[in-house]
Amino acid sequence: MPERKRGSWAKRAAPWTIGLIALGVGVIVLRWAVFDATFGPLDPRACEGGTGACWALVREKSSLLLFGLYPPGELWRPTAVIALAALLTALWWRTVSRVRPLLAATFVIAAAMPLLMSGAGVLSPVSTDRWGGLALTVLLILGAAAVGIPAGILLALGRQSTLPIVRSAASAYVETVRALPLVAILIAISFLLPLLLPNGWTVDKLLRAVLGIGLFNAAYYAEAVRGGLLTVSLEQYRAAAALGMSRSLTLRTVVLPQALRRSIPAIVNTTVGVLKDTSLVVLIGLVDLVGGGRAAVADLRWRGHPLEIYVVLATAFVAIAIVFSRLGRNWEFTSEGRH
Amino acid sequence: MTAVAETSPELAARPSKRVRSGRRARTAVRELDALWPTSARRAFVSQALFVAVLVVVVSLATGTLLTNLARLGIRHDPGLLSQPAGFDIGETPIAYTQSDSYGRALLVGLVNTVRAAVASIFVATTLGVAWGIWRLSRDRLMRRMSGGLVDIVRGAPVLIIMFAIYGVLAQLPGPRGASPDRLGILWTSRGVYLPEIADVPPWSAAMLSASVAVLVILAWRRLPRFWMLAALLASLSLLLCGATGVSLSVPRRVGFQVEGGYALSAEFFAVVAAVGVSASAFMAELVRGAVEGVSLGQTEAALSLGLRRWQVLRLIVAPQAFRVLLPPATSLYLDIVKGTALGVAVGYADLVSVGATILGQTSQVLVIVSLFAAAYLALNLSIVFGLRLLAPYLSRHA
Repeated sequence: MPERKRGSWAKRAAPWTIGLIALGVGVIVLRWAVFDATFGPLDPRACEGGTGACWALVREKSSLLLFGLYPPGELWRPTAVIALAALLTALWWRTVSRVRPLLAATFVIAAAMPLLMSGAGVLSPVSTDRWGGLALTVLLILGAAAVGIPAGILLALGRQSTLPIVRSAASAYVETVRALPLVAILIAISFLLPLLLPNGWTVDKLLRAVLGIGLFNAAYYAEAVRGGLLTVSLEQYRAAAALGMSRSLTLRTVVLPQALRRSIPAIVNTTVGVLKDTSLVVLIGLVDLVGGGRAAVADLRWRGHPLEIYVVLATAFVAIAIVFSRLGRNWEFTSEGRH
Repeated sequence: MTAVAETSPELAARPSKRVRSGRRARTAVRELDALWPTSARRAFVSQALFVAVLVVVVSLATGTLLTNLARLGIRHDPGLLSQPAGFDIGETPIAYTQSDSYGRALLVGLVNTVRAAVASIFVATTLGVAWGIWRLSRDRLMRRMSGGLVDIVRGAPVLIIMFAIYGVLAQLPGPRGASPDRLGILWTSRGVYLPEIADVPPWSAAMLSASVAVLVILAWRRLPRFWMLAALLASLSLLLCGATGVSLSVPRRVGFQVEGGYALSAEFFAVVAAVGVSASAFMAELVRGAVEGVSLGQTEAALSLGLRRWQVLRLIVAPQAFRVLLPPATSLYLDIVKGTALGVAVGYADLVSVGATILGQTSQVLVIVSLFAAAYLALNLSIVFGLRLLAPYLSRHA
């Protein structure tokens, strides 16, 4: 900017002032988090009277945060689930050119996770109400995406249908869902679903949460996919029609592959929203990462350190969200470079 | 292009995008129809099929719903809303007792939702605009710092921020052991008490409102020397207030209670702080995108015409940026309204929380869920139309 050198001394001093303030805040945070903090023995008395953070609490509760109430002897299974999730992220991070094998690998890995957690008849069975912690959060994200993305694609196609009734039904669904808070939908589903099923049928609490978050986010996924569909130019439809291709063939082989690929960044962004939405499952009684944190804060022996737990939880969510949005940006650049 | 635009705020902020994509979608539908014409009979058959499937699914679900309701002894009750509620509500901005009706209880919840939403929108807008200006700083370090903070706040779920604030407030001493801080604010486990202006004498009140009215008219007519007049009127009103005596009501503790001041319950504070701060990070990015969307050439042209930097911002950049900002800011405000429903988690008595209590007592799912839908739809529409009415005045040159 050409203005730079004309600034008065006050203008030039401003960054330094703000920098100093930031430094001060940084020192306070560091003193709390590092210098005055208690890392030491896993004993509530060690933290008494301290002015810094009590990380001993987090250390003692780490299993609760990561795995919830999963049987202690079987902890390798949720650990493996978390490791698989990391592997999946790494795959999506690296592979930006070959989509088909990537999708196949994703399906296999994602399907392996719930089987691993439940035992699948081979390992000792663990019911879903013992699943928890970060492992449950991972499963919720994958489950909600598995429900939401196909439903979202159908809704987006429905909104482009030439049949007016189908089009307005899809639009009505998307607009209604987007007007309501997820909390209200989760509460409504947990009351409504048992009533909608014949007597004696029950739907697992975890499945309810997955369906609730998935169907809610289907409306947002639909918007992401619709954005991708709009990028496919009408000339391509015309060219396909000129080649004598049928409408569904055009959709399957020409339009959708391009549209979906281009909507991957938006889909990833919506998935960051799903990640944040999973925190709401505590409200219907699941013990996910946030639920584990709530349980840790409620421990009477350790009364008085809510901030430590929530800082750790927020850090975990922020880290995953940042990785996801970088990943989305990777795909954005490649799809830009391709055409 | 559009897929990319979804992810980067500066592109997503284009004002005509929604209009353009809507038109584009309609042309696409028409084009598809022209390329692969659907015969009227076929269109009728497939739509009839679609409707038939919907009807079958809905009637099956309704059938099981009705049998289940009958089995559980829950009858659909049209008079539900006039029955006595019989439960207490933590925060009642309008008069309410246990013997009031369910309808009254839901109204209390709705008022609480509106209170939290208005306060959160205020926090998000003021903090977000300031943050956005910080994002636009010409200093790279400043930009990095503000951007990093945006990433952190946007990544953290609102619920965790809310739990953290509420948890920290709960650790504070109760009203009995609390003492006000330097600004006179009393922080207790029960809530936050702010000093408030009390007992404004009628003369000062009249003078204050008159000067506000004059200022609004002046701003409207865009008279010169606006700021001088504003300062003059402000100091006159202050003088008058000082002369006639305005008392400040500072919160102080009396026994186990707090007297005086303006009380914000811990729940309300946690909801507004969490939703407001979280939304302000999104607002900051919207503001940055909108301002950066105004082309640099315009700034340079205005500067070369001899306008001051402040004038350029006020006369050239702000009105244009505002027009770009309005559509995404509207949808952010809608998100804020929906976000206040998270208050359920800390026991804030908003619409969803009161509705859930009634659901637990009566299981009248359909009534309550349709009330939720109607209430949020009404709130959303009033925001959309309110902003649309306001827009022409706000985007005028300040």
